Amino acid sequence: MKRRVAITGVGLIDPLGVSMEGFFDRTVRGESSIRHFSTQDIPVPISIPAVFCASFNGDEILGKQRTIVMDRFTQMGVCAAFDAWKNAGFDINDKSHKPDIGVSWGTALGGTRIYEQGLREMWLNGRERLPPVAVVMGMNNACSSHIAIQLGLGNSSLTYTVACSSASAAIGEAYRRIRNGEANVMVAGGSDTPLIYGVIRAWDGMRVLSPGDEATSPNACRPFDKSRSGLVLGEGAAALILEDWDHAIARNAPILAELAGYSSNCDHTNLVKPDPTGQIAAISLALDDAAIKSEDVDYINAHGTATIEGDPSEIEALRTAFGTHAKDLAVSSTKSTHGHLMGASGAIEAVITVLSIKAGVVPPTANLIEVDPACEGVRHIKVDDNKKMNIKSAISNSFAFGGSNSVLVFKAPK
Amino acid sequence: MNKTSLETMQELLQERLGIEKEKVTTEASLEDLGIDSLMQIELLFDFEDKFKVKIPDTSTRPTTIGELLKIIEPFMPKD
Repeated sequence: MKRRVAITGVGLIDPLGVSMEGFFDRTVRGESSIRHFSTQDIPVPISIPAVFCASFNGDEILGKQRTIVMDRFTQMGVCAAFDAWKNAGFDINDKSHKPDIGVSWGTALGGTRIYEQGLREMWLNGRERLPPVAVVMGMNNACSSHIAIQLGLGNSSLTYTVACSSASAAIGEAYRRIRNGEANVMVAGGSDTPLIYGVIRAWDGMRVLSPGDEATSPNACRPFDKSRSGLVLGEGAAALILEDWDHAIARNAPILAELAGYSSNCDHTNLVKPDPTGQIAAISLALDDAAIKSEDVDYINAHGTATIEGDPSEIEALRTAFGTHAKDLAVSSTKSTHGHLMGASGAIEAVITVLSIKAGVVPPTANLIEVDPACEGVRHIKVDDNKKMNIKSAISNSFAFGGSNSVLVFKAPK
Repeated sequence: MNKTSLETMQELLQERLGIEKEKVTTEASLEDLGIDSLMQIELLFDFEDKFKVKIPDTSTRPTTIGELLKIIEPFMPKD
């Protein structure tokens, strides 16, 4: 018999530097963490709406002896993992060998930041070599490795790079590992820091970034709205502690939710154009894995990036996958407030989904005023709607460039 | 007057790793200060950067601050 998987801890980097609880409360109120982000970066200054964790200081939290070998995406990831670890009742100072606990991490960009800094130094300042630690700071599995080293985790330490599905895949694969009896506990999540000159310019080149200035940036991300104008980049990290149900019960751990189902598939049609057929299949597979019916799902935390093509495709997939239940299905995209964290988006949205189940509220899609007719057919949750809801089952969708879909199904604990 | 190699090392370790200057003595163990082999390579790189010199690869594996300074000192600027 397959084992049940409990969520016993969650943690994240609050972009405004308050707390996880503060972040969740703002998310439920539909308050945006998106601000105008500008730099006088050469050769062309940056001016975009973005979620920048301005108050995050890894040196202060972790100490310079740790952070000297950590890129910003690793620093954020380790901090989020530490918070989740403590939230689950574990001790971050216990470094004893734990062969039954591992790490499963997602990042789309990894240590891109350190390499961009290095290229600048070499090409603009004539530096011959890069600091040797750049090698271990830039590798995609750096964050996973540091979490394992800091906490003494001897089970598998794996990193998944699946564009915007990275963290969801990491969480799902961790779930499978526990479910199959290969680990008792897994630290799962993701981190990414895309606010880098080259990365921003590349996304800008794709013409999918929503514009905005000081005044309009907080409302720049408008998923499913008729006036939506593209996605908003965000940096950050989030982590969950996945634990074998009986293991959690035995140590009297708090069980926030059950991770009951997961699916991973591929559209195999186009690198960037989403395909509802693949998304429908991913949702159905995840529901089958959770052994629940479509009408049992109360809330969907949508991928909802606010791009012109992506949003209607996802809603079409929901309409088909959920049939007559779709019109009663509460749907929101919390990217409207926390932006698109790239490979970490699935982690922060999974944490929000878990906290929503626990609190009995559904977060809204901020800035959703007039639903695009192409996005109709589900129960969109807007800021002024009644958000109280007894959520028995909820889904978090992540649909990535490359056609890789990951769907997670969470249930209220019982 | 130029700083001694120990003073330079004390400043570097404080700035880069947050290690208090008084803990950085010639007898201090690198391991006790939390300086592993990767960090030693990084520190040599910092010295090269600071003094615009190139320190050749060496098979010596220093275990104390004093031994590390012996590798660096020939390349430090003279008064």
